[in-house]
Amino acid sequence: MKTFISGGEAIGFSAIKGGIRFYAGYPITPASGIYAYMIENLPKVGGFAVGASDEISAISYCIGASMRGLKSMTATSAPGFSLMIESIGYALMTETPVLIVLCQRMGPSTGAATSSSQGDLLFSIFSNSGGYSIPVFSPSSIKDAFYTTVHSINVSEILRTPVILLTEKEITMTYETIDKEEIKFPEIHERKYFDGENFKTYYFKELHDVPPFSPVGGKYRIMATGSAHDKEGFLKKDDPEVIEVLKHLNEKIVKNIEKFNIYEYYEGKENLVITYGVTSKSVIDAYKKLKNEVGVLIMKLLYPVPSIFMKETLKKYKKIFVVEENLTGQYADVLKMSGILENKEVIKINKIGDLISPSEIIEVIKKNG
Amino acid sequence: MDRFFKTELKLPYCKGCGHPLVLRALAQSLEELNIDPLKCVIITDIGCVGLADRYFKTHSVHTLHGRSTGVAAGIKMAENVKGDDLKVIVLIGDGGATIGLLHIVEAARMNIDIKVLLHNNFLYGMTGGQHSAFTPEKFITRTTPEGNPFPSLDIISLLSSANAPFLARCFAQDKNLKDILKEAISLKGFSLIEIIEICTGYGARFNKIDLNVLQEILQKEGKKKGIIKKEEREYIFEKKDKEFKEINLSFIKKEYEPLLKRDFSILIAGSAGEGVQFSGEILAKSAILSGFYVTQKNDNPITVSSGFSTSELIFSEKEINYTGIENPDFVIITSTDGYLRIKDKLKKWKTKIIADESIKEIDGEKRNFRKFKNIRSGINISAISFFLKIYPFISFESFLNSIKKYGEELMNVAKISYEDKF
Repeated sequence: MKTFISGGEAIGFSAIKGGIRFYAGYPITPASGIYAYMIENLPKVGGFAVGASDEISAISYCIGASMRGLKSMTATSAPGFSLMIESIGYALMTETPVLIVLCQRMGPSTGAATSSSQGDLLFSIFSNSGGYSIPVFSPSSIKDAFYTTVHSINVSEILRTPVILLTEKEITMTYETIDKEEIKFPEIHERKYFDGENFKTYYFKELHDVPPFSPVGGKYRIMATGSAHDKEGFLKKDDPEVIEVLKHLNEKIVKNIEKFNIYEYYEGKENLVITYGVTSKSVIDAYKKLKNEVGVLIMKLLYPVPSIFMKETLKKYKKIFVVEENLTGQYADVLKMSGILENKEVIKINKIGDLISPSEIIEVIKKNG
Repeated sequence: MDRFFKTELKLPYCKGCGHPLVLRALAQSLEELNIDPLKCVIITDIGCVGLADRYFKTHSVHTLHGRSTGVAAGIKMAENVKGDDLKVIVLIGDGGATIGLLHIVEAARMNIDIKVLLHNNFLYGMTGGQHSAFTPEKFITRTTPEGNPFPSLDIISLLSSANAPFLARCFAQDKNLKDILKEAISLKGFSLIEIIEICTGYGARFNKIDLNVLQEILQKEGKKKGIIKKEEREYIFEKKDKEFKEINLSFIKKEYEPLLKRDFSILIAGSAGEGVQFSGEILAKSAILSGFYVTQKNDNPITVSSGFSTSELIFSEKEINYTGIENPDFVIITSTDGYLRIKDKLKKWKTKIIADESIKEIDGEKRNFRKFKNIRSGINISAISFFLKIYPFISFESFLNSIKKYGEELMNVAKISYEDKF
């Protein structure tokens, strides 16, 4: 038994499976399919989907609904994501879970709406002020979108943070056959609710702990704020506890992310190809044609880089090829920056305008092998 | 008032500022309406009035500049799923209302049950007294030193045109403020109360201003005080009482044996609105009925029903990874739009061509597919049926099976074309 489904539909379906009950959207290619899917299907399960007047409203609605305890989600591409950024920082600061699906298309500004690309990786990683990052995941195929979407929602709920699910036009708008038995989901997790006495909106013990949640309208009084605050939610700045909260917002993600790492790994001999997103599919074909000569690492957690895992996995390899569909080889630079590559030679395989084909990958690997 | 307001705390506002009057009136009206403080949320944003949330004993959400109404709307919309009922009160300044104007208009238009208290003191107080969209004409601010050259926004008439059910305007000092607030809070639906205030820090520094002057300003602008609009409007943001079910994917079972076991690709190029992508999908589903793996990628101009439309299909016995087509095995061209779209690539490709006979520029198997132009998707269903005759990789029966639900007429097109009886 096979289903014939687009990546956008697969993401929408999985999101509902993963517990999303609130969706606010604004039309934009290549994310519009997700919007339409949610408007059609979310009410069937008792959820609510709404069209917003712009992306700022869309994410604001999501944040409000998430503060009431609903798993919330929106989807967009770079122009809409640009408008959302201020509120994504707000969700980060108020420790509000929300899933933002960022469907990449080519180029800056309006770019080329119906051309695929992987050019928004750095944009999504560095979209928050103050030097903060939020988790970025990327499904490697439509088939993988089922698992990775639910996993991203889980991480958002467990860590009380906005999470970006980074995907491409090539995934969201392409239709593919998927075998029924290949569709897999992780276990579904809920955010941890507070139950007890002496509630504080943002209470944590260790810096990397996640404050137990209570909804606006619930039995504990919430004081949410996007401004610098103490654990209770009081707007403050000259207080050691405020600095503690600011450190916590970073540590909560950085210190916990390793356990949420998802990837596919195929061991090779001397050299390793690292890739993500839709380009993974070309790398798999190249890997098969090269008869397993090189190793392949398909990353689905893109940021923060799970450095313990990465260092361990990369240990045995001499050369690292990083394959991605963007102008400058963004993920290769992220890996360099994160210090996991040590003195290994890094060869970027990247271009824009079209999918990178298996033969293009093989050519570079053979030349540099 | 003590149930709602932390009266023991000293408010941070300048002497003579209207904010404390409004906040106390709000606390009093909530108390008199006997509302549970934990069933109430005060939503603020940036600006002097945005400092107010900490003085309330309700839930509070302090948001980004101007976004209070957007977040409040989300909080309220969640009741569609949760089914409870919170009193959602937004405290916003004229600065916040300027940057977040669309959130307010939308909340009014959608009749979301939130109460917006717009504290209009004609300027941005917290950032140093700059003018806003609510600054009256000729009013002096830090950024309109010669007097504001523009008329102010009339939010009440704007929201009236957006069908807001409850709209009122008053001064912070007005005795009936509390009663107006009580009426607004009791009503199920969107309410906005514009409260005209004097910013003693900046407004009074640059302008000669008192309550009489405020009155004159309103008169000059043709703005009235009191409850300006109150009417019933249908409220849709409530949990629906119905049964819900899980959603499922639809699966296609293999019902036929494939006639050929080969991986290949097709590009269909035609005109938008003529069923190119639909026909591609039908072919894909038919192939899945015969056990194939298929990918389909469509392309068309932004204006969906004019110009070209293309559909790229890959068929394989095994799971398909790379979905690019470097050289399609077959190209099916059903219109000149389609031909023009791919003609440059066509020169480079080694491919079998099937085309409508109207396209003179190319060679290939040609038939009059366009004769079915009056039947919805007829042209492209015809071309694909003919393709199945030339390249019978699946049984024609499986294809007919897939189009059955679209009617007899389309099935006849397929049969005529498959039998090459054009």
